[in-house]
Parts: sequence; structure tokens; C-alpha cells
Amino acid sequence: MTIQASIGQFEQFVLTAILSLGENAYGVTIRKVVGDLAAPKSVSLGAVYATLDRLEDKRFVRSWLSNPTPERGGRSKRHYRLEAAGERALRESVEASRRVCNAVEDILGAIGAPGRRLKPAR
Amino acid sequence: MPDSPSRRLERLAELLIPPASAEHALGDLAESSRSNREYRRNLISILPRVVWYQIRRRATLGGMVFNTMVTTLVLAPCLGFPRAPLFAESWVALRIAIPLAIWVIGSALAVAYGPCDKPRGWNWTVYLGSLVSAILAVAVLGVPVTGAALAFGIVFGLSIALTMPLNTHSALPPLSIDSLPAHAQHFQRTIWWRNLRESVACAFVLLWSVSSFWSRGGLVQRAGFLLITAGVLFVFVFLNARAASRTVPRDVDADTLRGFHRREVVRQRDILLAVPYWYLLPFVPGTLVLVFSNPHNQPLAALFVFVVVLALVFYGIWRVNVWAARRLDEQLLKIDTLEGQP
Repeated sequence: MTIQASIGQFEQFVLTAILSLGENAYGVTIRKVVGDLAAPKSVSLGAVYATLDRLEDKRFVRSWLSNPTPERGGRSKRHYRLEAAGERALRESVEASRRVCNAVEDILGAIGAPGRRLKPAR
Repeated sequence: MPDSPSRRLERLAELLIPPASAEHALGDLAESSRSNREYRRNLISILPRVVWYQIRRRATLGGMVFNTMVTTLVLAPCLGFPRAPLFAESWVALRIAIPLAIWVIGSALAVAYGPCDKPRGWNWTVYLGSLVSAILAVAVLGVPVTGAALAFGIVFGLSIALTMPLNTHSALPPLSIDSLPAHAQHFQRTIWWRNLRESVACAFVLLWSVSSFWSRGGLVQRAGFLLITAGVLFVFVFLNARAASRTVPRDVDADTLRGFHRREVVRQRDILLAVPYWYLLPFVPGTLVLVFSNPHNQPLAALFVFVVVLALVFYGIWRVNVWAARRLDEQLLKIDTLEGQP
């Protein structure tokens, strides 16, 4: 049996961003999507870089340099792609989040609905 | 399209970001920053990440530990450990640790800031800067400058000599039929450098064992040095005959070259796996005779500790060579994928 490395919430955001961006996943676009997911918190480019490095170390993502593009002053982009292990980790993490969400909804009602009281502990 | 940041700021970023990360990091900075202020903020946020990324990728944490160990081992005798008066003074460990840390971190940064086409290349300005800073720290902290400068100089020279074969040529492209000649040349060059390095080491051991043979009086000790001399000569001959590098054939078809390179990798892999027999075993009889002749009348416990440490060193050498052989196995798999390719 292989033990799957777990991922944190920020890693979940970054993996989701890479998945949703497909071929266009690189530093700036990933940061933008992660920023939307993490709103209202602001996300620095450095935090995204650090997480991408960590995910690459865990072999959840793979990166490569593209050809230079004129809109970036002739600079290349480092593109990222989700690997099978990353996809598995993201699925597991989403499942865990869903279970947490269901458990909270059972007690508090639908997330976002106006305040419902906690049931007394049995 | 965002407004461009000032040229001065871009030049500063080019200077601060390691070359191997510069291409995409500078592009990301330019694309995501709409003002100089935002550019500065983004630069500050990514700088530690890209530097740390390159330290881990190029210098590696294992490399830093190795550098610390080697420098400590060279520094200790150069400072006269353990008899020198320095080692009776207070805070001596810290006073030596600070320049050592400057040296190790500086060396790691020098590799991190090295040219991107040479994965083990140095940034000479950073490297020399760390050497000078370590020596200055030694002077400021009241550690004998001559001994410490000699030690740092030895490690500096050693590191250049050991990485020279990796730095004389640019990084290889991935293995393909087109890049096969370059890979075969690179492999033979690596073997040639390894043999040169080991031959120089053999010459030093030979010098020591022969001079000790003539200067020591006891018959058993002389026998020990004679056995060591025989062992060194055996290793030297083996390296330069059986384990020697070979000339890569020119003007041959891809299949012949692939066959040659594959046979060479297999040959060197088998030589690495046989290291306990041709590299370690020849030194065992002489070492054992010398240890048990006990020339300095050491207590039995000290002899035992020495034998254990020596056994661990031999074990370490064997494991490193097994690891290297496994790397060659991975190369063989890649070579095999080229079979039948036009």
C-alpha cells in the first residue's frame, strides 16, 4: 500500500488553479486564479512560487520552460502541469473537504444560510 | 498590458535573481507588476523562494553537509587541533563555526547563482567573496588567520578540481540519437577525470607509504607499509588498465555507437559494483598489520574504535559506489529506448 502525501489548503488552491488553467498554467495566471479562490485574502507571487516548488518536490506537478513571448519582454514562461499523483491528491483533498462541509452542514444547516444553532452534544 | 517597470529596477532584479530562475521569474515580474512599487513588492516576495529553490536544486542540502564535513576535517589540523592553545580558549567552537557557516552558505550561494547552462558551475564573484568573507571573519574573531586561510584555500582548490569535469562543458541535452555522441564523450571524459583524481590520490598515499617504509624501524610496521604500497600500486594499475576510459569511435553509424556506449556503461557499472574487491580489499591487509602492530602503544579500546571507524568509511565508500552503479543502470534503460530508432 502506498501512502499518499496529504496537501494543505493553499496547495489545494494551487493544484485547482493548474487544473483549471490547463495549457495556460504559469506563475502569473496561477496566482490570479489562486487569488480568486483565496479571496478576500491577498496572495503574493512568492507564496505561489514556494507552493509550486513544494508540489514539484512531491511530484504532484511537472514544469517546463516555454518559448519566449514578446508580451513579457521576450521572456519564457515556466508552465506547470498536474501529474497523476497530484490529481489523486487533489481528489482526496476535495473528498475530505466535502466530508467536512457535510458534517458542518448537518449541524449548522446549509453553508451560507442564516445562523442555526448548534445541536447540544449527545 | 501592464506599464513597464523602470529599467534600473529590472537591472536590479536581473542581478539579484539566480540566472537559472531569471528567465521565467523576470517574465512573471514584468507581467504581474503595474508599477515600480508593485514590482519591488513582488521582487521581495519571490527572491527568497527562487534563491532557496536554486540552492536545493544546484547546491543540494547533501552537498552543503558534505562541504561542512570536508571543511571541518581540513580546518581542524590546519588550526592545530587539539593541541593548539586556541582550543583552550573560550567560545572557540562558535568562533570557528561562524566563518565555517559563512563559507558553506557562501559556497551554496555561489552554486545557486552559477550559469544556467552549467548545473555545477560557480558564480566566481560570489565564490571568491565567500572565501574572502570567511577569512575576514576568522581575523575578526581572533582565530589564527594563516591556518584558517590555508584550510579554506585547500577546500576552495579541491572543490574546483572535483567539479572541473562537470564545468568544462555545458549541460547535456536529453539523450537521443542526435545527442548520443555528446553523451558518450561526456561519459568517457567523466571516467578519465575520475581516474586522474584517483591516480593523484594514489600518488600521495604511495609517497606516504614508501617514505614511512624507509623511516620506520619495526619489521612488522615495515611489512604493513609494504602491503599498503602493494595495495596502492594494484589500485593504480587497475584504474588505468581495466577501468580506463576509452576513445569514442568517430564516423560510425548510430547503432554501432549506441552499442559501444552501452558496453562502456555496463563495464563501468560492473567496475563500481566490484569496488570492494579492487579498491577496498587491497588496503585491508596492510591496514590491519599497521593497526595491530600498534606503533604508538594505543590502548585496546582506541584501536577498536579506529577499526570500527575505518570499517564504516569502507562501508560508506562501497554504498556510494553501489548508488553510482544504480544511476548507471538508469542510464542503460535510457540507452535501450534508443534501440531501433532511425
